[in-house]
Amino acid sequence: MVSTIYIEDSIRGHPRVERICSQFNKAQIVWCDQYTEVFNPKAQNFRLQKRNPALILAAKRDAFVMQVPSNYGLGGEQNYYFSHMLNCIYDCRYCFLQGMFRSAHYLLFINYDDFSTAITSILSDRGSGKPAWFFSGYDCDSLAYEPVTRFAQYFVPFFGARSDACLELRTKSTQIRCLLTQEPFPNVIAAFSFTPPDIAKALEHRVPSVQSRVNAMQKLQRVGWNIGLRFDPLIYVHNYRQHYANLVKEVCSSIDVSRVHSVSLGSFRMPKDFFKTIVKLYPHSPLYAGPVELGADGLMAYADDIKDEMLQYVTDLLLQWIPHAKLFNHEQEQNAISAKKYGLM
Amino acid sequence: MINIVVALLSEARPVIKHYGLVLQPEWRGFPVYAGNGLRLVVSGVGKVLAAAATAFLAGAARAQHGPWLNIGIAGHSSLPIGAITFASKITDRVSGRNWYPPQVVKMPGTGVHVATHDQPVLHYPESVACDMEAAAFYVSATRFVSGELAQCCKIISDNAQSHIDHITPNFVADLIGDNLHEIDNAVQALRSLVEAADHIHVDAIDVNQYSARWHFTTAQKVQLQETLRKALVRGSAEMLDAEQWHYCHNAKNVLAEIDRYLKSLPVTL
Repeated sequence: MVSTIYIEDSIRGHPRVERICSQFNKAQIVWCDQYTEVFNPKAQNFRLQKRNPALILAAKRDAFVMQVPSNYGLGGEQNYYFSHMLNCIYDCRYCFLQGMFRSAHYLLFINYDDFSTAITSILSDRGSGKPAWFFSGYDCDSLAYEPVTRFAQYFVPFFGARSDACLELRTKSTQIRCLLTQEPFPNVIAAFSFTPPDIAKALEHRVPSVQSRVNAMQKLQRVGWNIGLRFDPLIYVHNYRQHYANLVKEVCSSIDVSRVHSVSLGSFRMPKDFFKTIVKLYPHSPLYAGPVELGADGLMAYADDIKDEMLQYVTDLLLQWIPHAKLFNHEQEQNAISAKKYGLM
Repeated sequence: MINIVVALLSEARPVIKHYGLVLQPEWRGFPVYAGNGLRLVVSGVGKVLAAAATAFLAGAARAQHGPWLNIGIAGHSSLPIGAITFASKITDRVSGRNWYPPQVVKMPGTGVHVATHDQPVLHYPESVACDMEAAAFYVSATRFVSGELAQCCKIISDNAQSHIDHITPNFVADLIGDNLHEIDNAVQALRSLVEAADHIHVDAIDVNQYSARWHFTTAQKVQLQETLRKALVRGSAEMLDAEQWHYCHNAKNVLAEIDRYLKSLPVTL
């Protein structure tokens, strides 16, 4: 439960602010000039703040929609991401947000209309062609904080009404009520991330169990929603084969795989600076004492032999259930891009 | 070790008595009292002295990792005399800069906006507590610890109905004394953070055994520290003993051997 809410003065009285404050009627309200005063100062400790994060309500002023990293797509020609929220209510040790942000507070941008205007503008400017993809779970979990954000309640109908855009909701949560209470849209994908249960137990804190996520997918499929499977990041342990074989079997045998929209995978990787920051925050974490090294692409990742073997193994597992056309190996795309960049191809 | 900064001896006295703190005569510059896991410095009034005393305590005591607590009196337009508050926002009235001490643990009383002034305030702005040290204390303390570990506790000494002219040393001591239970709650809450903060902090691994035997460049020392950290996390404390690599000719060989050994260990979480 949030005990402190920081609110920008400029959005005082905004209906979304009023509604959220009424949900946390015991929280202390602290007014600020700009969210950056609270979120950005250097003298903050992400790990300590994660014990009791505050909620920051702010208005985003610019850069509403960004192009995704080139290896992040699902086959679309144009791919964008937008972040209504920075940080996540979960606490996954492999998450790059721990290294990217100084603060663990949940920063929610409440000016959804400005995001939708920016998206409309991008779509108007680009002309015709294949639908553009918009990814919403890059800097947060798309659905986990839905009871507070009502992000999906706003954006799912917005995208559902458009034929020129697709939306990916990326989540580990079971907050699917807002989807179950409306007609499914074919261009909106609820993509669930998975890690084998034993690895999740060690690294994913406060996250619903694999079984709960599978149940949520089953419910969504039953009423016609498109779902996606995300195995990213793949985490290496000495007996990873057994863990991932069990996971893929458990997930894929529990849903209608013929109706899965897409599956993507990629191994654990992270920009070097984020990695260094996280090592300082969690010096005792086994994940950051494992066989990870700096690659030619500037990312900290598993050594090539481990990475390639693991990606191939999980790809083979998935291909037993999913046609090749639906499988997106973000790592291989990235390796190909890196190889090209460094003149190796 | 919890570090407490107060402006006045009259503010300090009840705290010194409550925790059984003892004056440390060897400390020159500011009076420092210590005992029972606490250190208290009496800064004097105002921003310059508050910042100086905080930095003095941090430097002299090498108190980089302990939490910091500023205890003092403040004026407020409407809060009753004796009410205990903590700073959820601090403003330096001169520069206009704001700070927001992150509230990770429950602090006593209600959160207030504290504005730090250069002079005593006679006309109280609405809903703002006025003091003369908080901003400087916070800026100085957060040079040494993150903001979660630097908190300000303010007890209302004057308001629109009862101005500063009634404030005497005994009155101030009584205000603080009456709130010792709440102050102690703050101290205990901050103590709970010490454990978490200590867990994050890892002392540099002692590589003297290694550097006595082989010559490591600065970069190699950093690499050695990191490799030994990984070894410790993965349960190989015996790696700290350099003797086992006696057959290595130079630092490069040692690092390669440790790396090879680490790679041979099963990876678990």
